[in-house]
Amino acid sequence: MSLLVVGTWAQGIAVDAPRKVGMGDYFSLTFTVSSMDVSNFKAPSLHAFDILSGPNESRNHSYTSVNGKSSYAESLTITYVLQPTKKGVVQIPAATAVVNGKTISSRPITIEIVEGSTSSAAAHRPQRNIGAATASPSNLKIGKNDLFFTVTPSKTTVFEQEAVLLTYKFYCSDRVGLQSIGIAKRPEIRDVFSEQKNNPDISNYQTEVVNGRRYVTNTVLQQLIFPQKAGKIVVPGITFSCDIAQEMTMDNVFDSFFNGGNILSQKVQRTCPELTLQVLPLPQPKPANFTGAVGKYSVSGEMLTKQLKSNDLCTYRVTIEGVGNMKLLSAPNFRFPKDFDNYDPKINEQTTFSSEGQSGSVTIDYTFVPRNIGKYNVEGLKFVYFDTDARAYKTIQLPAMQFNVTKGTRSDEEVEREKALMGADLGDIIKENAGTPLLSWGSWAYWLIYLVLIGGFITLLPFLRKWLQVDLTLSELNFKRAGNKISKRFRSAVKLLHKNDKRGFYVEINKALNHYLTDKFGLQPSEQSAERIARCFQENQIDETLLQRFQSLQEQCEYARFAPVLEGTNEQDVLHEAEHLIQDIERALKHSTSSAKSKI
Amino acid sequence: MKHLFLLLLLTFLSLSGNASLRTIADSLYEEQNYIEAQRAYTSLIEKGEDDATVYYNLGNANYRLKKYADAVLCYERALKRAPALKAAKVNLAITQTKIADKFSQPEEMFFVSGLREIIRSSSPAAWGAWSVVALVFSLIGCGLFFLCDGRGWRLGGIIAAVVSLTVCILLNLFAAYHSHLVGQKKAVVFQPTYLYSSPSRNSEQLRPLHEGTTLLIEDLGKGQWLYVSLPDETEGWIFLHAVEQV
Repeated sequence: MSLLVVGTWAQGIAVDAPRKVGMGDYFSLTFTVSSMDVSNFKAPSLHAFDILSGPNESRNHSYTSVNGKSSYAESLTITYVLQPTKKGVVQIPAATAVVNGKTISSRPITIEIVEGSTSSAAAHRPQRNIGAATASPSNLKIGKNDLFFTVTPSKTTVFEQEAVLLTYKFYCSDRVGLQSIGIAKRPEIRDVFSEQKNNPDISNYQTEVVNGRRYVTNTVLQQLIFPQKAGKIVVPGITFSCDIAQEMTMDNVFDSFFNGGNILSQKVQRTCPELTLQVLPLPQPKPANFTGAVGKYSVSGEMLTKQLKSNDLCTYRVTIEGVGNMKLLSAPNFRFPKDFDNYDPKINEQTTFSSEGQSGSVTIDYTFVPRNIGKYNVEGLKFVYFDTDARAYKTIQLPAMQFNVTKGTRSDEEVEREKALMGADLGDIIKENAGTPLLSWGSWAYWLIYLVLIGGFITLLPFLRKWLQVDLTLSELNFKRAGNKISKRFRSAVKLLHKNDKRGFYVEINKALNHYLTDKFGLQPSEQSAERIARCFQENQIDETLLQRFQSLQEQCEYARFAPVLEGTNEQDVLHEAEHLIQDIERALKHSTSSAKSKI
Repeated sequence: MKHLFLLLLLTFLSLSGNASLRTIADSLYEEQNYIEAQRAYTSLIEKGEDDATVYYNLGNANYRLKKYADAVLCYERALKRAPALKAAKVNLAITQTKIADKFSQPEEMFFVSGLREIIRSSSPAAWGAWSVVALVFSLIGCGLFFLCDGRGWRLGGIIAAVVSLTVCILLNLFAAYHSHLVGQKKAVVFQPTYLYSSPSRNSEQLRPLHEGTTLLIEDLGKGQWLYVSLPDETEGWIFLHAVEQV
């Protein structure tokens, strides 16, 4: 197995660069020679570009073994990181080098420089570092002059409420590969109202030369502050923490591996210097209508409701446009006629961050309800502000207006109701779960209940009728009543007997029998002839024997009433016979009715 | 720090049951910590405990935070779930005085609106329950009629049956109407927009609409537009994404 050293005849130098680059982009230009025995590499003229970095050399070795044949190749790569300086089509001429005694060259290339930034340049960017260097040696000490931050105020002396724009910038030398910036410590600035804007893309940097050294720089963040008090304002420095890319060496290659193969970074902190601002008090005396607006403004007013009607809600809109402390503006006082209801004005602001403060517009809506028809003259709104350029108070007076209120459609009651609601306090929260009803209307379960109730009723009705029949038909009610009554009479008869009133006893028994006929068969006493009684018994299918017993009992009683008491008549026997007879008649009637009914 | 503690407490207790989360949310509201209360009620709803009371309370929290369109949406959702919740109706009316659009009620007979208020005062389920009671009375009346023999009982029975049956039918109609009212689809305006005459931005703008106005959805329309009617019965088209459906 011999090791063949392949002396590649270098056909030429390979060159690689993007075809199109934006003015804001930086890109790498690489020349590759397939040999290590290179001498006298001459780069082409790169005057059309800013050289951010380079020439950087890197050597590549590769050893391959194919079918028993090994080969070993070497190459040398030279890289430049460039940034375009002007637009147009730029030519990069050939680079030359001497390899193995022969002079070889790369072919010239052209690059088109356009406005903005292109993605192809990004693809050629080395490792997303902001700084020019791809990575710093891990043992590089990053000094004060390699990386620092500055803060620049737009003005150092301002009035109260006047805007000051603070711009924070970083400066990073080309030895340092800056990856990202964060804020480590940010002390509060006292007595100011502030608004901040971060710079989202700090990698879009510029280069500057400071004290003879070249730096890349960009704005990290901007802050607008509005001092709320006169005197000295101290802006303490913000401490930024930065990630610096580190070169991978044998020492830290394993760390990098566990770090997910990413470039390791070093954390460095820098604090920007402290600032002092002088805040002048606003001149006294302040005009009566001044509510704190400082800046440059213009004001206009518009009646949003075209036709004013009584009892209708109307809106008057005031628009304040300009720049200054817009977010701190409060609604100027607008004097409505006495019999107008008016409500708290609503303020909406649409402002953007600008170097002189918040710029844009603020709209203030005044809502009111005229109660009566008529013509009203209304004073125009007065807006007072302090103009920072003129260093004086300015008043803008809107023209007076005439409100012509015509009859509205809403009634007084509606407006009163609405006013009551407007003044009302919100009802309290509910703590218990309201709970969902067991059954919702219209569901199948609901109609099922209906079905069950009605169906059940219909099916049960005949059974109910039957069950209740036994006691509840009319005549049977009478039977019951009759039975009770006769027992009562028998009892009173017994009482008379105890008193030894034999005659009374027989009278009572007779009465009982007569009343029994009346109650049971509806036979009045005058109708109670023997034939009628007989017919009655027959109709009710009562046995002959019972009729005879009845008649004999009646005779016995009547006889005993008028005739002297015979020996041998035993009142007890009479009583028993009466009771038994009634019971037998009752039983007979029951049988006859049930048999009659069963025939139906 | 207090917020962190509350957040941890909320997380822990939400794992141990929603009943306690509800109590926490209520206490947050009572302490006037409306932002946290609003978050707590919202997470209750996300967990599925979205009954009328929670929506009502969330509506209150939104009102306190001056988010009137959200408050209106919450009260409307509460009323969809508990149509007779008087507190929600009252608070909705109060919130509606804070929104920009005002409408005059369309003309109608006083007894029509009076009747509608009566119907709306009880939920359909409540009307349904009372109608079942009326049905039972009606059946008792029938029973008396068929099973009694006394003239007085039978007359009383038939009268009771007829009257109760009429009441039962009437109550069912009330329940049906209220159920229909509850079933109507509604939407609340969330972004200032316009009512258009046809489903296109180039058509005539009938009137401007502001946040918090409740609309009745007449037709789901096509694509990005809804056909709606306003409280004063004006109809038109509105852009779908400017509203939230109840």
